[in-house]
Amino acid sequence: MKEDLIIQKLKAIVEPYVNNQSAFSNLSKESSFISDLEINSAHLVDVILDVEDEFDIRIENEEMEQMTSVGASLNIIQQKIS
Amino acid sequence: MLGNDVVDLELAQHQIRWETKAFQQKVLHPLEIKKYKDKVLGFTDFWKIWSCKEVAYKAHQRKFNLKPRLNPFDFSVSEISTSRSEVKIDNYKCEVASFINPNFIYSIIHNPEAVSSQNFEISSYNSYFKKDLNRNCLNHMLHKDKNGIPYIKINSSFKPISITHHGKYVAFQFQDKTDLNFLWNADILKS
Repeated sequence: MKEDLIIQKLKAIVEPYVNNQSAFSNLSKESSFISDLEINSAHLVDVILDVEDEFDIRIENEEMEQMTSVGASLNIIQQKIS
Repeated sequence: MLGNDVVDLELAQHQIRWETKAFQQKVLHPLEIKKYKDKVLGFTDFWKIWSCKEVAYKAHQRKFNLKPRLNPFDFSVSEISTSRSEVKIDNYKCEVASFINPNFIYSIIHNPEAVSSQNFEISSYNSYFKKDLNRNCLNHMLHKDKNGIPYIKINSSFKPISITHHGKYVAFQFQDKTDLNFLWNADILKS
């Protein structure tokens, strides 16, 4: 799956949980889920579950703990689906 | 030590997945999974555990200047009483006080001076908690370091602050009472 498509899917997953819309419209690989997009931490768990469903993968705890930005999540999804 | 967390229980009702095994396995420590395996973990109990973990995460992250991590499963919460818990991660432990009512759960690093008042506002010598507080009033003074740990700029110096916001509730916790007094006197903590 192409990187652009993964980011597009990730963007659709996080959208309902985003509290900072201007950070969302400028979303990049560097965007942090917590400090930029201001996603409530309980919803970060929802993001992880949604990623598992969308990409049909299982995220282990040690991977989940790194998934605090778009780029970090992209890397983990890429490793898992390749 | 700074760390606080509020859960708006009305909003948490919409977090419909909290009760699922998948959600809880990503949140609970292995010891907690074992502990609650044969027991029903109720709505308020679950969110109190979550809130205690958040408090400990904030205190631990600031103390060791750590990068953000999504690791609620690394924190184990044991109840000392209904309103007091001990939270452990690695060799670090802290005590957390939780104020619980039908509307919200507010947890804060244990401080004997914190009291819950009848109108659901919680006063403590160094924290400010209020329903419908406009968080934007403080935003222009807030700065986050490279790890996303918040500070507030008061008189050109950066003072540690812990912020929590969920649904209708916002709360701040300061290192020094003087910082809270400054903001109060400057009319910044307005509803």
